Amino acid sequence: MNETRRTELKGRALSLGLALGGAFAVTVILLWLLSSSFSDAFRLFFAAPFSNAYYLGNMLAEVGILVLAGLGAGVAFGSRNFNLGGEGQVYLGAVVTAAICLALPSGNPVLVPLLAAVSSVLAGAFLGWLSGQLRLSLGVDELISSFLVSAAVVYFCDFIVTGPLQDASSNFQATGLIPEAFRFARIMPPSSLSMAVVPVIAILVLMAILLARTRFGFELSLMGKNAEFARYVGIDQGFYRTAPMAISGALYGLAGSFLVLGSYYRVMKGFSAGIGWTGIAVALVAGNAPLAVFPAALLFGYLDAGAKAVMVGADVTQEIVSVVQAAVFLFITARFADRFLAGRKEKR
Amino acid sequence: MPALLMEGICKRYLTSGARANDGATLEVRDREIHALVGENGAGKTTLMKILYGLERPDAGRILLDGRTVAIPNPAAAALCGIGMVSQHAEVVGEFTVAQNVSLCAEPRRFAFFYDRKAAEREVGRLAAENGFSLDPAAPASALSAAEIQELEILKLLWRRASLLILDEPTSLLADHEVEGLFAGLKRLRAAGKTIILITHKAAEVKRIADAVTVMRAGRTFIRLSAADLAEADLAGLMMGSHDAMGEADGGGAPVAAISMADGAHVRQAAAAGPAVFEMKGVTVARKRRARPSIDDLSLTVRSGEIVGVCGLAGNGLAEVEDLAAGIVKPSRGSVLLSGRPMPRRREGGRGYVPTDRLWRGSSLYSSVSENLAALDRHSFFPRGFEDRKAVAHFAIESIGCYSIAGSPTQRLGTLSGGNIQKVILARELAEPKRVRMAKARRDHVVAKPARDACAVDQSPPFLLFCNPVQGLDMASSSFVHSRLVEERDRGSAILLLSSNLDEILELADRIIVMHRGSAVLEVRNGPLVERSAIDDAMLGMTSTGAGR
Repeated sequence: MNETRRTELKGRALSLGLALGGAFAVTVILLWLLSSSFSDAFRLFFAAPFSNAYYLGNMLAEVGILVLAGLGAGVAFGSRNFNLGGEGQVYLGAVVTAAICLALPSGNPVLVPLLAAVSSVLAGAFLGWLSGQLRLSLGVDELISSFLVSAAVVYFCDFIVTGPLQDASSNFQATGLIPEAFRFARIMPPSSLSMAVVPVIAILVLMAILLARTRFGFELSLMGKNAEFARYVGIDQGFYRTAPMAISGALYGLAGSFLVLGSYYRVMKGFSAGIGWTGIAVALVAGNAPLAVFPAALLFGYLDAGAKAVMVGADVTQEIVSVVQAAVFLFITARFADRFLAGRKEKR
Repeated sequence: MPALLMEGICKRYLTSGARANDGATLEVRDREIHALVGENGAGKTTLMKILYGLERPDAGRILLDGRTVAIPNPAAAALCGIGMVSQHAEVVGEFTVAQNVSLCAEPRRFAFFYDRKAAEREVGRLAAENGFSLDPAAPASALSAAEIQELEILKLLWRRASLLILDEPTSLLADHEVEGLFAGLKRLRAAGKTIILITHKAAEVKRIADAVTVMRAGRTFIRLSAADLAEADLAGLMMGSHDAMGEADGGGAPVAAISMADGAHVRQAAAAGPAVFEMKGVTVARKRRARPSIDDLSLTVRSGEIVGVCGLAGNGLAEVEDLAAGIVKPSRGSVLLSGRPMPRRREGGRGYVPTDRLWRGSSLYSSVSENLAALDRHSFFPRGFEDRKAVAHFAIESIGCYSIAGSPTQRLGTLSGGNIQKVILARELAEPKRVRMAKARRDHVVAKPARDACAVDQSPPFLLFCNPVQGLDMASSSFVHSRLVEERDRGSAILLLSSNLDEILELADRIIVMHRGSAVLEVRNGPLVERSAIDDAMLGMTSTGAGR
């Protein structure tokens, strides 16, 4: 597998490089056009994420969450299942974790968060499985059903957050804070980077092994590459419609849970805030390869951190980061690298 | 002066690094049917793709009527009057014949609206002028393979092409349909067209071509007028005596031993054993259609025999394939393997070589070794984890035993059609890994020569082969056939579905002819079987009248 994989990786690295260059150019132009002080904005956007422990820690914490979301989107895409329900699954995962932690404030400091995380995983998995099962039994396109179910779940979670779990002492539309004993220990205070990155790294490695070395991963990739062939060699079609969707939902649910246990300690209204969609972007940039998810998540985390810094420190709106992300998308999906490589070889 | 002259054409594919064309020269005279022949991978299609502007040559030049032309794309080719029918039909099934023919060059009303009446009238006229009996208003999805060929040719005539390139036009046609196509080509020649026919069937060349160019390994080997050439010589030229031996190495002896002339020898089957595969009163109903696609079909395949089922397209062969593969369940009746209902894929120990080898039979974006490991997954992934040594060992062994031109890590889609078919065979005919490993250990102890690794102790009890040599060249075809006979002699029950009657007559012990979803004729194969009787049965003209 080495030869093909090496050229594949080379192509992917190059396309990533070109996308980065393009995105960089777009960002510079936008900053130049939109900010009153270009040099300040430029410095803040590109250097601020590394300027102090607070920014760096926050960025890495977000990267951890994006790794989970990217793995979640990727495991579904890799088997030709499309889970567009990330937003709802992240939000539900967060709400489930917050609810359990708030309901058992004096419980065991290890068991309660564990129970909360497992419940969030199950809740997300259920949402993903539901769409896979709807596809199987009723022929509903999972791409549409996952999106619609998620849209409904978002409103349900809004209701839970602003209703039963609303923190009466707060002016925000948010739940109360979970007890300190349940929180992941912080690594770089005051930033939100916490010990949650440890299980995230473990899950990244496990997923990489699962997809590259096991029968499950092999059958999943065969399904993704050619479902008719998969059926022909006797792969259970039903299992590979539901299982990848369930795993995808589970990872999204866990991302929501870790956001609560590691970063925010509460759930605000509109909590998922695009993590589901960014997860898809991460998976696309990574080409569904688990190990490439980390650099891809790093890229999106960095862009987000830069945008936040520039928003606080200069007079640029946060929308700029959306534009930059869109530019990265565009450059990646346009597959410039493939053509670039082909053109170069043609000339030689 | 030749109508077309291609000189010193070179083309190297970057992805594989293979030289598809290596100084090829082609000379075609005006109003001539020119056959371009050669084995799979000889570079015929590449040369024609260059002429049609689908590929750009690394070197060489093209002269039309003595003038050098550049053909960077198919549009430029069309301007030069060059048209090409590719190997795989390119029709829009939902469109009518007239819509397909006039696509992108439609007659318009008010310079904007599609003029259906004018299109059907004009296409009908064009068809009639050239002796084609196509109904311009018929949907393309209802056409037979032969009619689709006519449609494709009409498309070129509609665009006023004067030089027609046909890539393997007969590979999907039955014998009588080939006759019709050739008659049509002769009419076109009389009407002033020049035709280049790509083929690897020597017999066809003799019947129709005015001149022949033989390609081998990317070079045009020889140009001859067909009259000078006996069929046997042509086959020899295509393969090249040395090359044939080289390619067949590994499965070498069988290829040499089993030639067309030895057909009778091949058919000496041992007495057939117990029934392995049975279909009993099987009917497959179709939605919204009165006539079922399979109507009360019963057949039995015994151990140690090859049952050949033939029929024209649309008469139920495809459905029998899906039934025997266990992909489709019958509406009525039962399909049994060893007396039990069809089990899951590998459990019943059956190999299946599908008609649709590119989509159903292989995963083109996976590597060769992944394709090989895809079937016997439970033993290549013991306890769920990949046994990489076993996969690598199996891949190397398969590549050696089947002389597959490719490496284990190569993407399957980059291999030629013949090599893809060999990968499928290697996977489907393999013993379960358990047996292979035991054998490897034993060989190690006794230190047998490596060549023995190819010998199989335990072959699958039931094999389903569907058009196994469609589009393959002679060396690959005879290799596939020899493997088939080997498995039969070792006791496999083999169901061979083929639209190629020659193949059925050469290999089958019993022949079943399908027409309109029923078996209309069943005969034991032998010297007394008349080809014409089977031809008639395929068309539904049987003395018993079972077809109607």
